[in-house]
Amino acid sequence: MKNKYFSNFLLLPKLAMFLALTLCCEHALARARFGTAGQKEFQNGWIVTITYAWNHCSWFNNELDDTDTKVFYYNLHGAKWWWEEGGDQLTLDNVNLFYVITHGGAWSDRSVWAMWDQYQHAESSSMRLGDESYGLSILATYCCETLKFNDGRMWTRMGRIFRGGLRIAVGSHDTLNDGSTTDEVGEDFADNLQKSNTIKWSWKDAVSDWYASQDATVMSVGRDKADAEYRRDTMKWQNYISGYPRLRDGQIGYYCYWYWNNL
Amino acid sequence: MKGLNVRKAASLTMVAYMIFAFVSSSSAYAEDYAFRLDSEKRSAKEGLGRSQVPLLVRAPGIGRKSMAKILIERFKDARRPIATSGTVEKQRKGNRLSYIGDGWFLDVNGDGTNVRYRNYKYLDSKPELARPVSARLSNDRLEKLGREFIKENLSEYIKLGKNEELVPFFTEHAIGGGGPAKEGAPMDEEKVYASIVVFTRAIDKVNVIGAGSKVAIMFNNEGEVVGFDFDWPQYNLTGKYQKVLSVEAIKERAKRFASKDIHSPDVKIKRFECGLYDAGMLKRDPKAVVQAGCAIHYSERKIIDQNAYERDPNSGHVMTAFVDFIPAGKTVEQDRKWLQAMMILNQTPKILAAPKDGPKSR
Repeated sequence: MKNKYFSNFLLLPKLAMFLALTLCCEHALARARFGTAGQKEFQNGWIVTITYAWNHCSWFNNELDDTDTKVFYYNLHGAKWWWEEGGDQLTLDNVNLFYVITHGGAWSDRSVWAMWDQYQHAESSSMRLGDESYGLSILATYCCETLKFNDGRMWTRMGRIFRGGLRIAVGSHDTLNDGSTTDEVGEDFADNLQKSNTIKWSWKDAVSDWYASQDATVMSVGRDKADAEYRRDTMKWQNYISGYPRLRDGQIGYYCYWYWNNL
Repeated sequence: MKGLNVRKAASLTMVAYMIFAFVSSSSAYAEDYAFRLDSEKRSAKEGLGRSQVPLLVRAPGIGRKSMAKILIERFKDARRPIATSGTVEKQRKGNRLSYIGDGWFLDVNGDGTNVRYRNYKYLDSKPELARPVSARLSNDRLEKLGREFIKENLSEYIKLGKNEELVPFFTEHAIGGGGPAKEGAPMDEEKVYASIVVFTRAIDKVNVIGAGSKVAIMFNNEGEVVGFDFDWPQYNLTGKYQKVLSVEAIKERAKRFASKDIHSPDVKIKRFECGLYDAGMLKRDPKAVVQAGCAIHYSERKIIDQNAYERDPNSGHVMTAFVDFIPAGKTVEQDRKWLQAMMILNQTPKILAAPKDGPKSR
């Protein structure tokens, strides 16, 4: 009898520690953490200006911080180090959702995102997200091509990022436009997330405007096909932690994508 | 011998990738209707194809509250999937009124002429309806189903004025795919899950370009409507006409006022479409008239790593895409939300101002 009480007594600190870890690391609090980054003009004009970049970011921030906590809003000056391994624990992995607008590209063996600095770009081959600090869960990139799949190399490009435990990525397999009729995408994405729509549909409805040709894409992973598709089709801003344990490295058996094609 | 086999295996993998890439890139899962194709051809050749157009104003809608009330009532007793019954949460945010039910939502914006309805719970509840992409709903079928739905359910709000037509514009499809998480593993067959048909308005055969005057209907693979959008005002004549530039002059103006250098060798023009420009209720200057314009959709593929590009022509680049609307009237009318119109009128667009709460360097 005495032993039973004693073992229960020992269990309490363990339980407290478990709860603390759950609350801190996976952020099961009501307010989730998000970070934003973007770039309008680039050093010496090395690539073209994204005229409406600040509208994307600041309207996204204004909308989502009604319900959640904005942890950072950075430009992409000297940013390569904090995108890639070595610095991401201070930025991308320090939030639950990261939203960014810049130029993107799908190379044969990696996806790249342009930084402000001339010829600098972050590379998926040097990125691993979800395994430090709070651990990123949702990567949202308003950039061209980075979720390209039609050459059969999507996993080659994005696998390294997901192997850290990232849950879902939204972006494009081809092009997303900079223009006056698409600068509210960030705001609409945040609004759709807040309404408890799935992340997949939140992205689609934010990106579409029925005139500009927008190629929306979503990517997720799972232990197998059914698990990957379940995650892709049901994950929400309100439930992405509870029903979707992180999968890392060898736990990932399948990747899947979902897209709307417009051209 | 071993090295030879490795090289042989590697080259076979490359060939497989190339065949896959060719097959994939030659698949077109979004299609334009004849009206859009003809409009593009005419635009490239003649611009608007007429010397002047009437200047129009968007008539005010009935208001978002009234429109929401009508739609909630209209679909209250409807059989699923378009239904507004059950417990509803009402939200007001800016100029948007939202009703959120069990798996569905209705957004009514601004003056009530901009609406979105979705029932994703219903659509997602039938994954067994997924089918091979080749078995997707055809453009003819989508047009027919779309017209039927509009006629039966939205005709009170999708009204046509004199010399106006509702014309099918394009379709697009929701497609899913994937594969084993292993380098070089083949991908599984893609499946289609839903389809959308988008209609536009033609006024005296002139297309309305921009997000205004559009109706989009979303279907599952059984042809059931699971969502709809419209941005559909009534247009009133102002009694004024606007003389229109020749296509050569429009292209000259585009060279000066497009956001980027559209003649750069890195730039690919994807569409050039002329008509009456209505940016849509959410994006337009409410005081502005609807006037002549041409849309240029273009992308730029810029090499940023010459070494990577030389090793592999599919690498070393970034992509960017733009849609610019170029005023096509000889005299441009005031529009405080149209960047190029303001530039032509020597006005400073507020949209380019640096944000007060802008980003910081880390």
